[in-house]
Amino acid sequence: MLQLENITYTYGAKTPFEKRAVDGVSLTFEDGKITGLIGHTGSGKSTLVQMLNGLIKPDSGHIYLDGRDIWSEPKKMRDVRFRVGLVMQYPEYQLFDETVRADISFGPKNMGLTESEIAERVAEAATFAGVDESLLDKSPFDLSGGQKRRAAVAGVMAMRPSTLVLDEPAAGLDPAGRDSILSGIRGYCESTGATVIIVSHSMEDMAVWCDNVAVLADGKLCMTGTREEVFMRRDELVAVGLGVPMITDIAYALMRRGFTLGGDIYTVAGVAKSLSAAGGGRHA
Amino acid sequence: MIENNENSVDIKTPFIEVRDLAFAYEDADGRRHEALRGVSLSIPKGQFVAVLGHNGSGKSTFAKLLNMILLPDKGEIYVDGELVSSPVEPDEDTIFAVRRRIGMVHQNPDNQIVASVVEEDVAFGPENLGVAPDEIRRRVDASLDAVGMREYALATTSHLSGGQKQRVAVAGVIAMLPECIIFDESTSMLDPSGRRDVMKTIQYLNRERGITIIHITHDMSEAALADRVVVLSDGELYLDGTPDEIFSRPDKLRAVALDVPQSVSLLHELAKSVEGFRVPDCIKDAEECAEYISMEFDRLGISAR
Repeated sequence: MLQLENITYTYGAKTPFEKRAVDGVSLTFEDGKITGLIGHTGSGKSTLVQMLNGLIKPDSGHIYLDGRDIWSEPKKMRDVRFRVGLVMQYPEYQLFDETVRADISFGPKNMGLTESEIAERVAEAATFAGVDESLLDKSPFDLSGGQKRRAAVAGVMAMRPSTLVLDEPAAGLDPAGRDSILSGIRGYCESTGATVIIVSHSMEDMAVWCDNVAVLADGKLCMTGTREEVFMRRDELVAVGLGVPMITDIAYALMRRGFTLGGDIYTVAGVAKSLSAAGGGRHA
Repeated sequence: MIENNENSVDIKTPFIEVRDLAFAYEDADGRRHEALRGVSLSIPKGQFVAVLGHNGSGKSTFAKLLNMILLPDKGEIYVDGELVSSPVEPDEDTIFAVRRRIGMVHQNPDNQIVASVVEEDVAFGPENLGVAPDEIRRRVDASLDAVGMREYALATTSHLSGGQKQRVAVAGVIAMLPECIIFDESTSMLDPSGRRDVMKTIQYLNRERGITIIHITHDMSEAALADRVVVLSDGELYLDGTPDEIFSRPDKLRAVALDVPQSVSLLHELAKSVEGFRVPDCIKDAEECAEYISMEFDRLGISAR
């Protein structure tokens, strides 16, 4: 479990460009759940994410990983980085090794695991991330965009981190590629019980794949709760430069016309289900 | 709607016409990867065309060929009826003339913004074209007005949000008075409000200024705003039609890794599960979609209230 307690970070302190990027954020990320971190450009998401595995140190406040402050012993930060896996934006630019297999092995190798453990980790991570066995001996540079992205995600999953943080993992992928990578992340979360945090600008993706949502605006945490609790506050989301999925807008428009829609109004399948229950299904 | 490669000839003179365009990349081992294999297409002046396609479908190659960043292996490109690009190396004057007429906005504005002050960045293009100083001033102001960024004329570019930077990049292109602008996934890195602003700017330039727009995107709701949707798959023209025509075929789009807007998806789901539910002919925004469902349920005598 990862807990943030009143963390603050300021860029360019004591210069005319001083900007408080993260301002007093307290938040708990639960095990076995995917939390979506959303916010407008410049809301502080990326700064916050870089603090989760100690890449930058908060000016004040604490970050607890399984109850221990990650900055209590800065010399053990290496260990923290094996436990909190960070997948940056466009991670395929970080692929470097001669084969996909070697690239995915890089993390576990640095952890000092044995050859057989490494092989096991590579196979497991490749399965989660959807990297086909036949690609493992290819050069990462011969893969397609979507395949490269999945290989890079597998490289972090191979460390079997108990917390997995991904910054825009689906950006730039076509709809099928997007669903494939996000369902792989869902699978990793469910089978390992890891804490997963996804930063995204896509409300549609967040509504389908996340359990909880945290909203940042101007460096402050302005909303947090389950997917349902957050997407219920449509007007507030629009006011901070975000929105709700189109399907949720359709559901609200139906409710204004007197429709009763129970349960999931955040996915097409959910809304279709409520409506067809009323209509008596052709396939029912 | 036409499928595959049999494009119908437009009655009006097309602004851009490509015939049998082909291009292959060579990888480090000398193997050829065909990015485009014989695409023919004509785009009339003032049309707003969305280009969709899976990763690796050839969308970006297509854009780079139109802007003459790449030259085709085979086929021809005509701009305003004039042959500008064929496998024969064109002269520099032709390339520069085409790039002035067909501007391009890239995915990441940080790769396109060159100056540290907004108005200096917008002035960069016309300065390079040798435009007179007072005319540059006029164009910079008009371009910033067009994208709604006039009040940021003296702001530092690096302090802007993603959506604001992208609009400055658009202003920099407009200042060269192009007749066509290609947006190569220009909204993909933006937050929802940044996207809304850039899409509004695109619609304004198209409707009010008559600029031909080629918008490459993975976002189906953005494509729904276009006059025409062109779908590429594996380097070939896969579908070509109005958004209504294209999005009426969710299965055909899903077969090539694409999707339809959520409104269309919902209507098709209902047609499958509710006896007698009919899918309308045209795309609906959220409000219209709800109104249509409500009317259709009334017609079928279903109470969901």
